[in-house]
Amino acid sequence: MSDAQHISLAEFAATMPQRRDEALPPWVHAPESFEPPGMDRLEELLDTVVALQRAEWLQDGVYVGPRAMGSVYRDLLDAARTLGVAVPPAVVAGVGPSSQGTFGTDDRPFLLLSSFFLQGAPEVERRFVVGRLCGHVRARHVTWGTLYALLVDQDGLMKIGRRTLGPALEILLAPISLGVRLALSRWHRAAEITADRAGLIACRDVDAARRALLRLALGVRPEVDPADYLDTLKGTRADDSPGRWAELLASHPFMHKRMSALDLFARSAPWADLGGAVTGEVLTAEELARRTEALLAVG
Amino acid sequence: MERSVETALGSAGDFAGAALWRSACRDLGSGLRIAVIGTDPDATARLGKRVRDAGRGTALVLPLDPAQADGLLAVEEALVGAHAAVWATPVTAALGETERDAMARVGRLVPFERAVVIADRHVLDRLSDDPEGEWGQIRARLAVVVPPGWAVVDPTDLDGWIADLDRRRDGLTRDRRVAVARVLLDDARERTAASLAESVSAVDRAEALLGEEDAALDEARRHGERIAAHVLGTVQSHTESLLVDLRAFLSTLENELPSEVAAVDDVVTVRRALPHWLDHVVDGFVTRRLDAWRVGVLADLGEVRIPEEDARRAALWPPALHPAPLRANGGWARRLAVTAALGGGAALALAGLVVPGVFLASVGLAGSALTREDPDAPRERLIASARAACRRMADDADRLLREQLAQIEAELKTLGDREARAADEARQALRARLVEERAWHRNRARELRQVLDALAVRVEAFGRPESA
Repeated sequence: MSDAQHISLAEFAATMPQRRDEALPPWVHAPESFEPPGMDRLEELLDTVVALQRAEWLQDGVYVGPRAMGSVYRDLLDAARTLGVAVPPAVVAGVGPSSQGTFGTDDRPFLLLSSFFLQGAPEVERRFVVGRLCGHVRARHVTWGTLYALLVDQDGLMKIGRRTLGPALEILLAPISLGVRLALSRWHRAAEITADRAGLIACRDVDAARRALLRLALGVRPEVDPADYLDTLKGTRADDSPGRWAELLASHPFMHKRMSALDLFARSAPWADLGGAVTGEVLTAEELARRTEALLAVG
Repeated sequence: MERSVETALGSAGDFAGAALWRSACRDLGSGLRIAVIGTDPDATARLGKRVRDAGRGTALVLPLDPAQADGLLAVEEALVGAHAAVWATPVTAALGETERDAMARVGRLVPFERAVVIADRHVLDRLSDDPEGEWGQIRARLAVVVPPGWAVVDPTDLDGWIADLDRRRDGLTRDRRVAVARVLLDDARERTAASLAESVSAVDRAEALLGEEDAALDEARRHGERIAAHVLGTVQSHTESLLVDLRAFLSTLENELPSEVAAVDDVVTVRRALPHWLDHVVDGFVTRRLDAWRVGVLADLGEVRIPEEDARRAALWPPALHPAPLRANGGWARRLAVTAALGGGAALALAGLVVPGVFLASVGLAGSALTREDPDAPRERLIASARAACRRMADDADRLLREQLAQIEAELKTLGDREARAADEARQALRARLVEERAWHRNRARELRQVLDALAVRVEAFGRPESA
């Protein structure tokens, strides 16, 4: 069947810059888009590097499908439908829960899931994690998130470069890594908040989302209630400790902030608009953004 | 006898009857007791006084209001402890219809020694011109309307009638106990028989409901399997058609690539826009085609009356069909060889080996000049690369949509069992209650049958009721 409705290449090329500025959903926190010159080249480079990394993960991992981890595949289909993204390929590998992420480029993303996290995870927590990774796709975080992981993350994609170039890479990349950290850490932390919201939208259960976050933080199934965890932190955390500045260059906000940000979102109008149950006062989108920004402030 | 009747009543669960029996035995053993009953309270009270004045035993004055059910029950309870009964009827309206109805209602428990006495004979002397004549008429009428089993006793003969009863008191007591026992045991037997019938019917009801439950579970399973078969068949046929359309579309797109690429002058723009254009166009087609797929599937399922809720199980989502990176640059071997020749030649010249250096550099320059790349080559390479991407996307679409289809198939395969299980879970509480009720009623029916047999033996031993 021929499809006469599609745009010609010439027309597309003429209007491409506007097309890339597609509207992001209202649950995205602090939407920012970077479009520096040479983005195409950068994406090509990332495609190549990520393809190498994905090939390595696939040596021991598996593509998620109906016959391989069918339950995760079902969660993936549900999350993609809920968040309105094309079903991305997903690889399950024996990596740690904190290495899970969405890699590639905004146009060619794929998900990396941890078999350690998925092992014994209840369906609702699986949905949260798969949903938050699909949320990165929907919010178009993938290209910059991958670049961040490539240049900053010490245990992820950088590993493959280190193997090929050895210590030279460290020397070469050290200043770049610091620069990227300084430039992108704040953006990355905001992106994680967006992803948490996407996870909640996919699983629709605030308690389960908090438990899943706790499990991502602690790595195992913790015998602690998220509310107790927050209470404990309140009692032991020293807000004037110099340790709080460590978050400045951290890729993720501190866990208690993520949980609080999730609670804020669960009381907001964007969440209510998506059919979420809100008790008490409903925060407007602006109020939500303001409070989340205040929560994420470092220092 | 007293104990055996009490035990029989207790075993039938008639504890009120057993208590009544104990009370009746106690009353009947404590001297002559005559119940004075009547629907006219004044006449009854006056006749009661008359019986009391006779000075033989106890007179139980029991005015009866037939409209009061509670009053009737109290009279019946009092009657079981009486040896004899006197019905007080007023001379002005002796044994009217209301009275006769009231007599019939208490008749079952009235002692066998029973008499109707016209109260207030002296009123006739004041009201009538011919008291004797009228009295005779009243007595004659009374003899006609008096219910069977009742004697008509003249007020003047009442003392003699009571004295006669008193003389036969021991025998009366014995007979009265037998009569009361028979009535109470009969009542207990009737109630037991009713309970038995109720229990048997409850067992039948429970079994019928359980049977319906099994049928409902089978129906739920069949419903699920039917839905699964329809949904799967429809989804498969529409997906096959979608894949054919997608391949045709990608093939057309592949053929259109040269003209599309030729329409853009700048190769750099082509290189930059082509992968995004492919992505956009294919994504748009798949989205539109999946929308049409959904409409077609729902229409087909609607035609075979599959409920919308079940039809929603048929859902495919757009797979990620991103084209692989397109390559415009080629001839890397030639570039490397030329660079190596020029670089190597320069290095040799600098090292003092001028002749080999110049020679090597000349070979490099000659190679570069003779194998210069066609200016259109990047464009051709992009087209070839895009064609390969189209084919790859067609393969990916086939694989990814079939994976989703396999997922739907796997879920639908167990739909029948899941529907039956869901129905079973929803009805488990009801089912458990029915099974428990059935067991309880079965036991109860078994016990009641045993009691009924025992009561039948006892009732048989006492003979048929005299008043029946």
